[in-house]
Amino acid sequence: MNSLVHMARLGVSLRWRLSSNRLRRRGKHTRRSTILVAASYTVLNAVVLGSARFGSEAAAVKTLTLLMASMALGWVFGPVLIGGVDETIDPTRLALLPLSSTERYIVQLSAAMTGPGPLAATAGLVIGLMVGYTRLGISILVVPLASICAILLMVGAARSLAAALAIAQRSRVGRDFAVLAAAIAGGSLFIVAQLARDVGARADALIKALAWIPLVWPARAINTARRGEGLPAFGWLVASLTLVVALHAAWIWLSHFLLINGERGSQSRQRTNRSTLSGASTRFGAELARQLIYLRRSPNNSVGFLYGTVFGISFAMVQIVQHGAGNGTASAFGILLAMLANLGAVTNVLGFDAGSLWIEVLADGPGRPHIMARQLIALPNLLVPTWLSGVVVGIWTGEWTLVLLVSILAIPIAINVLTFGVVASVLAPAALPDWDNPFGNRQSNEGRGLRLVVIALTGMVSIAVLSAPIFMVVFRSFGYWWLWLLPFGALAYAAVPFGLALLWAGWYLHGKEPDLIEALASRALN
Amino acid sequence: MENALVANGLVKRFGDKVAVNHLDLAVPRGSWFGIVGPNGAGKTTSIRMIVGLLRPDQGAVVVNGIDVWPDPTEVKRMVGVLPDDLRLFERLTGEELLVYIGLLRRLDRTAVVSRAEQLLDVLGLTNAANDLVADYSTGMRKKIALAAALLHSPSVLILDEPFESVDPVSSKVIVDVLQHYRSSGGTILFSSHVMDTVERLCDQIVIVSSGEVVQSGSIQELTQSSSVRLEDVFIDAVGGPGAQASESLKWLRQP
Repeated sequence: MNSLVHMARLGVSLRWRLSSNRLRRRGKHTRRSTILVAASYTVLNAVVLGSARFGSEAAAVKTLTLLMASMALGWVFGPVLIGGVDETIDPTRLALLPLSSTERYIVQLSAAMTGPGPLAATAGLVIGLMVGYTRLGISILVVPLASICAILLMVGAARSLAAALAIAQRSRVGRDFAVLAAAIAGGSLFIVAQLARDVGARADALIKALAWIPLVWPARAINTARRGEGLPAFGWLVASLTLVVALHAAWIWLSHFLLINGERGSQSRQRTNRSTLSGASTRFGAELARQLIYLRRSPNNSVGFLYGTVFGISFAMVQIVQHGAGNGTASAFGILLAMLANLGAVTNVLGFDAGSLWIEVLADGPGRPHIMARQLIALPNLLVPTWLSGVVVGIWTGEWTLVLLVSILAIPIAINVLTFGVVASVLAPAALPDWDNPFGNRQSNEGRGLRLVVIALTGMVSIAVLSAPIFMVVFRSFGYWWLWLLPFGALAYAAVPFGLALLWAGWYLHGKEPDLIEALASRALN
Repeated sequence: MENALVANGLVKRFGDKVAVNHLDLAVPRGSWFGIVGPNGAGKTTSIRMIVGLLRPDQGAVVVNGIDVWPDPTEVKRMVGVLPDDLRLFERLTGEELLVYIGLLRRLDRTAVVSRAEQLLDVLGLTNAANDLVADYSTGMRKKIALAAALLHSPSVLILDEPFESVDPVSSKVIVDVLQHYRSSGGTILFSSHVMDTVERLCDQIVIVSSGEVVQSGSIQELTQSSSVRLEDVFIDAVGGPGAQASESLKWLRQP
């Protein structure tokens, strides 16, 4: 027992030291803002939940369900999406130490409860629930227990997911499947909510769906206890406790499995690129061939392609359901959302990856041929999910003519995406995240995860501005004979900024290779 | 001589590929033992199985009379490991990293702090003791990981490519530290493909190729008391390149 207490204290101290070192490194402003955000989050949760004491029963139920669900989703998916922030999530850093599974679990559990985020969330939740949801009777017992359950559930789910993803990522198929499954899980709630016709019904549908997430079961225990329904409250509490035990057992087992089977299961197989490389007789051809090989092999690309296709079709279906099969225009233009959903798949357009950069620098680049090849090779990832969404919309609505028009228009819109990619990759180079290692996302360690988000948002706005004239002319031309000539005009229109951007980028990049290497592959400079 | 470490019939498969195929090792106590082999020979996979980081499909490893598998916890108390792919806490300073590793190994705090200071001093890291590990160069990372491996004074030290990407000065420092450790009775098992270093430091070696031991013995036996170079023995054992460079790269000359 003394040993476990010792380990728990070390876990707390270790995480605290890691967090404070990280904040100190990021500077005074980041440190202050982190403390401010954490304190505000605590107060916000405490006030929102505490005010339920004075609200209606229905409002209290909705508030707690929504808040606990958002907290759980952030807690579970946050460390995976913004990897590298919490180093204690990675059990392999403790692999060489003589710790039993229980001791390692205690170190990781205590560390998991210690960072600024977990502390702020826990404090706000516990204070708010005690004030807003505790009444005389059964709730005095159920609320504190369910609060502890909720926190333990979130920790257990977050760590089990991270360990499961790390195991899945030992093979390419597993990695693709894991990312896709996480994306579908995260997006399905949004789509379920979108399917409802009006805002009120949509919110109710969302809350009903959220209440069934196992991580929100403690909220059900608290809500029923608040109403004084003893048996259902204990039922949900027992269910939550069972889930806590199951998730934490899974976390211990998965971490142990990861530690003794850590090496990649899939060894590289023999590959041949003769057919791809045979036509590469020019700089551009060679670069195009290399990019094509990357496109086929890169997990980032394959995952992005799958992600874009699934979400593209889902978004198109949402448009159909919301507007009815009769409104073919909205549904048909909705397929362009597939392209937006797939922006993440073309990060090599928005940025570089360090591997590509080195090859380009060694091949007297990066210059226009390299940039153009990198951009053009991203076209399939942008267009194929869009066209597949078009097929679904066509089958559903029968608006094949409109779908065909939008599918052709997708080509100039995609070129606008590439135009932004040319400018962004040169002005704001951002290295790709390391998808091979969910624990070692160095981009997030350096605060570049946020930079990628800002680049993507700027991209969406820029692409919308660049594409607006195309849409304005197309919408005004419905019913006229020249409507079908417009895609060709749009292609010519999109080619102009693309060409200009390429010319500018080639000129701008000349002699900037050392700056790019410093920005994108700084580890190599050590 | 008594063996500090024995591996019997180690096998590891990844799909269809057999990475390690019935590997046997016997490392005498107090010796400096080398595993050498070309890239992809199975050295790192073997070391991972020996230190309890990868479960073998077949075979057994015994360190100081204790089986590594199925539970490697006890053996991890006795060995110090410098792995090939260093996974360290990047946001700790070098000194903090050593202190936490010592405390997680249940060493006394005063002893840990004192040992950490001495190791940092000997390894030339005193000036970088308060820098974050994330900012360390490759050589510094190797040295801080070596310090972490030595902190608990292990009876067996297992090092995977300790001199890879390390400059000559750091390399000499590491060798000095390891020679001191060995002279105090410690056993060292290390992998490398730098033949000069192996020949200079090791008492015994095994040459591994395609996951199998193709030759083993003392340096004197293998080099026939220095009448042949270890590098030639190694190339003979693992097989040389398919074609002579002078024949197939005729285009590679200056006008």
